[in-house]
Amino acid sequence: MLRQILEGAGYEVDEATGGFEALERYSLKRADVVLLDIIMDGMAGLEVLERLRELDHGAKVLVATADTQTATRQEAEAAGAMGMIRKPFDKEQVLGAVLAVVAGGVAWN
Amino acid sequence: MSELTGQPIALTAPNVELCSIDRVKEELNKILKDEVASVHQVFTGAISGHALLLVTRDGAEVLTSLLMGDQAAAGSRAAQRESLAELGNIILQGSMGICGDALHIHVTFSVPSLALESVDDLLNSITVEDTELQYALLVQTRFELLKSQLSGYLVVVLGITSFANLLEGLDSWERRQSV
Repeated sequence: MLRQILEGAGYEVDEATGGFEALERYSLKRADVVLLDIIMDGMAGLEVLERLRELDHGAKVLVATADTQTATRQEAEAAGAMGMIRKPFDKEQVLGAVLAVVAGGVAWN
Repeated sequence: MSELTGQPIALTAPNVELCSIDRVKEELNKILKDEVASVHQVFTGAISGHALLLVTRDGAEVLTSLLMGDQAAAGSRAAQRESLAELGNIILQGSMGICGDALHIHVTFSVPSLALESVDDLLNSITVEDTELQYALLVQTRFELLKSQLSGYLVVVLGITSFANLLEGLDSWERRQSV
């Protein structure tokens, strides 16, 4: 779904199936923005986020989640995320968040 | 779910009951015959337990076709399972998240798993993993997709310790409301 939305808007998308693969791919080719699911097999999303930020302090990461808890958002922000996109994905919200983060802003709405 | 399926949803008021796992089985077997499709997420925190979205096998097929549209027939089994698991993930985390925020209790979710099995097998797999879950809180909410005549159930199974923490959270919430 995210791939469809982003490719439809002209973005090049690289996809990883888990945290370790995401870190490996990012270290080989740094993406302008990373969309990261909080819940993943193997390594938790927020741990991946922290490791990405260790790898590249300037990494721009948007957390994707169905978790509506305020505490989850606070944890993501503390771990260095630049914004959050909620599931189910809304095309306008996704593209707006990606544009904002690529431009150096944040996207927490 | 309404956004994802493009159909209006009717929700019944939740029925909450503290009962044994055997009673949970009995109740669910009355309403869900044969095999059920379940999306199961373990959650941990001050309150830990199992959140389940249950629909009949036929219901799961209807849901998959609504979610995937034209792609449902051509889609692989894996894609169909993934789309149903994701729907469950969104519903379970959305519902639990609202409660967690209201009660100031933060929970963390595991990766959702999808299974097709009898109610007994499903609940046995949960109790075998965690012996504390001999008694449980059953929260039952029925949803209906109006045009598709589909019903499903949300079930949250908690252990006694988590149930006590939940009651404490509810007391605190009541006190906050009365201030």
